[in-house]
Amino acid sequence: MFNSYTDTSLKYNAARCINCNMCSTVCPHGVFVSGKEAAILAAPASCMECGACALNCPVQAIEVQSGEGCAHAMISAALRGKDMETAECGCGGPDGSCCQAPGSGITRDE
Amino acid sequence: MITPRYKRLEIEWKHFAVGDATCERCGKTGNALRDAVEELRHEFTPAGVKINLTETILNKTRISESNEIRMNGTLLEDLLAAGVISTDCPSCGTLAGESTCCRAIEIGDEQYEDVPAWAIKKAAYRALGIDSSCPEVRSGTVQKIHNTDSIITSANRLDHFLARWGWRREKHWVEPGLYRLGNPAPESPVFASANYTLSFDALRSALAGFDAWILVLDTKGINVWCAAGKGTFGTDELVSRIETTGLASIVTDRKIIVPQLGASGVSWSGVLRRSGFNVEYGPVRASDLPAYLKEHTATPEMRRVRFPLWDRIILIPVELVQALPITIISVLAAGFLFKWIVAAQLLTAILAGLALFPALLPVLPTKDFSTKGLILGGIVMLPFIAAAGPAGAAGTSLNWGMYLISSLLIFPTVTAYLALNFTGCTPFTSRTGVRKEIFSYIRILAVMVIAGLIIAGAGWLVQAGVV
Repeated sequence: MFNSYTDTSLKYNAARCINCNMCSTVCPHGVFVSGKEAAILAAPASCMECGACALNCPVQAIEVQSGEGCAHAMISAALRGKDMETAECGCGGPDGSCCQAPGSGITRDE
Repeated sequence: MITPRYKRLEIEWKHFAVGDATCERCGKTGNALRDAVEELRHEFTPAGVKINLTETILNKTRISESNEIRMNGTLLEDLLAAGVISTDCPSCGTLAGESTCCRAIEIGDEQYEDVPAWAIKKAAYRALGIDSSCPEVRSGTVQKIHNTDSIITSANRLDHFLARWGWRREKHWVEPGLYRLGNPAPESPVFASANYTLSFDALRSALAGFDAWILVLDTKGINVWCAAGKGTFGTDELVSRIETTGLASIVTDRKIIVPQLGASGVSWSGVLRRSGFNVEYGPVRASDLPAYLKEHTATPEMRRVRFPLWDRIILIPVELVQALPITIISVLAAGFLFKWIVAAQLLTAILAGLALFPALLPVLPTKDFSTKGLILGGIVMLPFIAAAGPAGAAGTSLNWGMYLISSLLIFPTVTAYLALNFTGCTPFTSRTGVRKEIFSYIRILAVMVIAGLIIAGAGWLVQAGVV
């Protein structure tokens, strides 16, 4: 109830995993953790779909529809008649964006 | 994969040596040559190219030929359209027992006493008959190495302050390229960063006391995570920057420490395959780097993104600045068209969404941003409703009831909409979740506003005695 963040596009094929631990290394939300023989998908609901795990998985055991979870960008795209799925944050654009200066707050500084 | 015209590359390198000792510039050239050959073999062996390196030792009677490289019989300087000059070589002088001058090459405006790896690779490409328009060849120009330190000056702090307020946000960037932090040696670690001043300054200040190389990518003045999402902090830019800075000829360890939050734009296998450099993902926060560097191991906590109070509060200024024009216009319009108390309510609802919401985010009930915003918006309306109670400004119970309902229907939706827009500032909302939330709540918010306006209109008619 009142929680839209339980679904995710993340798909994990454990049979392909070679247990290199790259997914658990790059995930900033502990979605994957190290397992004995393969990585464990421990917290799928915490996935923010940044795509780091899929991009760095050497055996394509992970699939995710990565994108920015930004309502401002998605609504703006819809209002301009564009596809919400392809909406991009306006970082660096002529209007600036919500995340260039502030989102670079401590969490994103490095 | 690039297909070379020739399947064989014979590289001959001549240099002066006495026993096992050679001069400094020949020693560096030898290292660069071996590295370049290894990379070339890695790149071209799949295409069936055989690469052979022959080393010819010269005695001091042929010292003028020392450090000469030929590829398939053609001199490196001819392949590169470079010049050859002779400069004093104290190192050779020591070995030869007399003052000695050795050859150096000039490429463009730059002079090189030892031949860098990128120049060797560039010449090799041409010797293999690869079109000079290939990007790998084109990129063979070494950029200047910048110097930096770990000190954050008052000018830096002012820059950070202005960035946080969104002042000329496109101006908060540093020159992309390679930076020396302190006095790094070839074996010193290499860190990748964005060319946003806050990112670069966070990294260099965290590395106080360390000597290191910082490879600054051109992220168009955007922080690492946002740039990684866009791909500007990505594999292509990282590989390109490694090549254009000639990093392979500067450092001995083929490893780059990349911030963990850059991983959504960087493929470690792609970087390794295309540049020969291994990617090591450092911690999320630059401030954890000193602890990380002790064993090059991150604790689980170092790998987690958090969104504490201060991180949320520092987002507020730019939120306010961005919303300022529309806020002024809408509040003034509400004041002139309706009543100034309505303008005050609207301003309160907006400020609640822009400033209170980020601060109170984790303590507001529910997970959805819209419902959190509705709750917060309702709470900040309570003082207005109480002040306009039956004995207050609203006059009658009927008027007050209508005022109460319309206030709770209209203004919390403003706060809720602003709260929903805050999703993009957080480090945890997914696109799937945000899409679901938009489809769940936008219609509800619209209906609430329309219903509220109808009730407010009815209340105005009752108060005016029309009905």
